[in-house]
Amino acid sequence: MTNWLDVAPCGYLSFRDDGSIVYLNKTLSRWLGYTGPELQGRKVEQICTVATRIFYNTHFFPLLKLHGKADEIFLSLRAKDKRDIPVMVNAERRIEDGVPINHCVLFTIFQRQKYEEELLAARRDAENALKENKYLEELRAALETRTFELERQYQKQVVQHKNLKQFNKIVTHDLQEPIRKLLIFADLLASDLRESGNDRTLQIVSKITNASNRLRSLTAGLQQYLTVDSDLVDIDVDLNAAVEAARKKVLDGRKLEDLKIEYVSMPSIRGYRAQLELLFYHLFDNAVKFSDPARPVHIKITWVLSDENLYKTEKEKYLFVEHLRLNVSDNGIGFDNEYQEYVTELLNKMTPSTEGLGIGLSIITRVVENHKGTLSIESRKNIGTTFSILFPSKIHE
Amino acid sequence: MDIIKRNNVKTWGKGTTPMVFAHGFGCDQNMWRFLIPAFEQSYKIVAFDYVGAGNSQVSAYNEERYSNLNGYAQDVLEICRELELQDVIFVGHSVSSMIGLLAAIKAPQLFDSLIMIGPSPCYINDSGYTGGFEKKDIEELLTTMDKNYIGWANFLAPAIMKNPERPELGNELTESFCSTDPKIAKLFAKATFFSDNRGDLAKVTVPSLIMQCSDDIIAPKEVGDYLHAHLPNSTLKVLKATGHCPHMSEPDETIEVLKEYLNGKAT
Repeated sequence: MTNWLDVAPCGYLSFRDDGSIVYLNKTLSRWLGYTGPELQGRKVEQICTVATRIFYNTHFFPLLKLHGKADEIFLSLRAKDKRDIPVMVNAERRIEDGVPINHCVLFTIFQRQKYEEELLAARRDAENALKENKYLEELRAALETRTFELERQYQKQVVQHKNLKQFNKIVTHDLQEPIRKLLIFADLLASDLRESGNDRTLQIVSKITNASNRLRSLTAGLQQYLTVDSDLVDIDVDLNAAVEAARKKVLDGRKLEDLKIEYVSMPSIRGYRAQLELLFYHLFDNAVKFSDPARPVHIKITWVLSDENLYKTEKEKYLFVEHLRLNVSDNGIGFDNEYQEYVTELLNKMTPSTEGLGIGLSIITRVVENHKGTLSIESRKNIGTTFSILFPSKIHE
Repeated sequence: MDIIKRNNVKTWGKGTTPMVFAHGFGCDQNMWRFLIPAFEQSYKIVAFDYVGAGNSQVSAYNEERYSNLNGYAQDVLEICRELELQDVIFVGHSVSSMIGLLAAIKAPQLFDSLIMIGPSPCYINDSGYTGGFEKKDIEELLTTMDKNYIGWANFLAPAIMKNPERPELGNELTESFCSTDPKIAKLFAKATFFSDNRGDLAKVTVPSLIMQCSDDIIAPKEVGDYLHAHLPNSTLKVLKATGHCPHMSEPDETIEVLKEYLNGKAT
């Protein structure tokens, strides 16, 4: 008796979930150029093009397994002589004696394929044209808004710049003179008092001297803060050298014998050398300043390169470029995380008992901003603080 | 931005340790349904769809963001932060293994371990590296996808999802089923198959399990070996299951291997 399925003018294929072929009819065998039962038990993937194998694994099989059927699927079969055979497949999954079998009917679509290809090409062209047009329109609108904003900001900045220059002059020049005088007169007063032996007044005078000294270092810090931006040439900065320079500065400034900073060799990043040195200096200096007297200062720097979005403020804009994430941790006294924003605010200091002036943190923030980076601080009281800084490894204009 | 809605995030389960299930290219969170029941009793289950897949909010799709696996990694991190998850066991199929890896590089403190099912750090052959594919194979795949979207829209439309003669597939099918907007699917395919994360492997500090299928054309054995050799703190397990979707074709074995790894870690 004729097995009608074998001579039907369509391909027929059944396979198990593991891809092994249970049955294929003679028509399909003939299309593929095989004779006899050599495909029996082989994997379905063997008669597919590479692309179809991927599609089978990512779409066709999941669809069959979850949905129980798949209709009008386009696949490319690979014949024994490596020719591609485009087919349309309808498939259904049936459980037979407890075993799921996937049944497929296949039709060749040589003619249809040409037509579809033309359709697709036409659609792609139309879509591209539309997309390009829309994109240009959006760009134009965005540019207009941006130009307007820039103009407004520029005007504002001209005024701010003037104010800042004035402020800078006051801090660096006008304020210095009265401070200097205060210190001199307090000194004179102290030597007079020492002769007359008035201890209580002498104490008061020494407080004036201390306060003046503090004022002096405060204005020095402010001056540093205001001049952070003056370093304007970006180069490839060797962070290891920057760390060592900063360590030396802390050692000299605090008259320390040693400062333990643990790190593995870091890559270079595009940036402003003096600023980055200043950043590390303040990170380390803060670690010393807010250290726990019960344990020696131990700073640990870890880093990783990872692709992050370059756009930090712009919403819905994405460009993933290489960033360096630096984590600088210390074992200092730490603080409660709720103060995080407060900490970075200019001139806020955390504990009245420390000599901290808070300006270090503001400089750190400023340097990070100038490098188009972001900063987050995590701290645990009595355990330590970690500064996480994310820098683009190259500055993108 | 409502992240829960955006990524169609579902949470359930009786445990506290979170297991986050991330589907691969070509499907959505439905693909986990044979696996997840085995973990519901002891874990907090989190499943989601990437933007553009399943029941996610297609309006939130951003071509720039999702043309890069880092954009998908950002989805994962945002979900973890939104749900305030900690010590996450991340289970990723296929490309999601690398998405999880990128997320774990960005925020290692959030993750306990990475479970990678059929992972590959690079699909395209390179000098001295066998990824399994040539660039032209991937171009051809994109064409195959294009062609299938002519009829695609039909069988993915919600009305057709209703399948009264197959009640065992459950009701959720009526909502969505591995439906992906064709344009988005194509971009996801490009982001997936043209990605090269070989340089990122050494950066991972979180321990990982590599589940390598026997005879998987998308992630061949050489790829699993390469991963195991370059991924610090990784365990390689070769499954008897064949193909690229062991969690669907051989869920029992997949569950067993996963449990063995998780229990082994706990003791």
